[in-house]
Amino acid sequence: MHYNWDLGLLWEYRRVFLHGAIVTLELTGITILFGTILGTFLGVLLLSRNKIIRGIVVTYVELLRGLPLLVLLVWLYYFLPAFLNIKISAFTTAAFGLSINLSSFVADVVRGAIDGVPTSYKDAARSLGMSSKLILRRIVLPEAFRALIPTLTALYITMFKMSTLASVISVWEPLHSGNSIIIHTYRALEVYTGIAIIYLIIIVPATYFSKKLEKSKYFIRRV
Amino acid sequence: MLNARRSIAGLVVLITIALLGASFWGCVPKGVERGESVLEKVKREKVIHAGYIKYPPFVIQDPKTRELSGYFIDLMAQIAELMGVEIEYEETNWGRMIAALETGKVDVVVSGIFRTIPRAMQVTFTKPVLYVGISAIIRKEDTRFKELEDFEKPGLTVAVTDGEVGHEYAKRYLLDTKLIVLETEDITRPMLEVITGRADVALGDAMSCYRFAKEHKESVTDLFAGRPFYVFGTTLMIRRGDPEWLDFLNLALEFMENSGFTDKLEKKYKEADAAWLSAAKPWRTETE
Repeated sequence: MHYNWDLGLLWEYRRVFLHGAIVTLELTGITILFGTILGTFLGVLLLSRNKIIRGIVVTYVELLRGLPLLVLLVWLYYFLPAFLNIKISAFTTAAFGLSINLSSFVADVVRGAIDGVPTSYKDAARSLGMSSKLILRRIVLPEAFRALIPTLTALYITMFKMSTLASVISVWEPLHSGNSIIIHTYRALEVYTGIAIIYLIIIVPATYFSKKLEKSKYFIRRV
Repeated sequence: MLNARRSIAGLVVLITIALLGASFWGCVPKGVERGESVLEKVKREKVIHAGYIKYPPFVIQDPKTRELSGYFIDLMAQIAELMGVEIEYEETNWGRMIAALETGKVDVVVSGIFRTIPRAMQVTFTKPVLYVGISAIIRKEDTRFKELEDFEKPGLTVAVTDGEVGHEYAKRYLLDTKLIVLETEDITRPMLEVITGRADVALGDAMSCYRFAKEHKESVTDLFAGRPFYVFGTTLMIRRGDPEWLDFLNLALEFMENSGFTDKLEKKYKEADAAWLSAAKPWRTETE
């Protein structure tokens, strides 16, 4: 293969790459924040005794888990402004789409974690006269949270990688920024190398941190 | 218990689908009153919502500043100025451009868009402003190819971008070749298949082939430079069923040609050996 590399291009467009990295970090940050809050709320509702509430939440979770994220993003991008007359930017659409997608996975994980809290803990709390809401807030959620953290971290890293799908609706994350450089310079291999470097710089430490968390004694449930 | 949960979930899914269906039923694109032309909406709102697709030199976007320029951007700016309206641009791409028009997100798509039959079944085009054909990228040292017929030899591997004009050509005429169809927004991908040796030939629009070969002249050759085949009229794209908007844009483009504005744009953006063909004018001056 004969290819004249022009890696100077990475330096020339460093600000474009950097801006792409910032956009993807912002997008992932917002997604994690809203996806986790909404997902935790839905996860608790999944254990509700009310069949209607549970049915609605189960449907929400199943629909969003089943719908490919790419399809969801493109659909939201056109559906919200065209049929509901909601004018939102591509970035907000992506943040919304990624958040509701993440919330469906978080809901399931939270439900599993709450289910996994030993009944003896709840019985002990009840014998002390604590109400159901107090047991949930003081005993169940903190205990479940402990078990959740490693799984959630892995989910967040996946979500960070998935944020690249926002490029399909022209959010200026690394891939879309990269495409704009390619179309300007016709130097695809150099640009893809730059994009890979950005993701590696962020993903490698995050994965290392996630592995550390998994092994941490704090997150192993004591029964 | 499980059955009850499934029935409730099923019911909610049905209600959701019904509600979404109802919201789609009988809707009209955003901002446009029922039966109203986009032209009326533009006159009322004093703004054209335009979708752009990067395609130098027709639509150029500086990656550093994100500033737009190019042949069609300048052309639209001049039309908007004469109309006394603004243009609000938002980015779209080859795959989403029809949805952007049909949902009313944009009033016009601005790029070098080819007037193809499959596209014309869904959208409407203004009159051709210029013409672009297809060309091919081969490895520099490859001496097997001189003419179009050389691509019909069996055993060849041809790389194309999904849905692009090169793909349409290959499906129709290169029946004995192995096709690599790439689903990508990056127009250089089929050409990279040639450089990396996975394909013998990459087909693409002559403009992209020309610019790619110019940037990678040590590795590849633009086989049909200056003599593209399968030529398409290239222009603006709008929604179907809006004769007033179409009529207005056609008239505006005609005026741009007759006033000499498109000649100025050619001088500004067409490189000496660039791969687009100019449209002939329907009139000549005495001195020509």
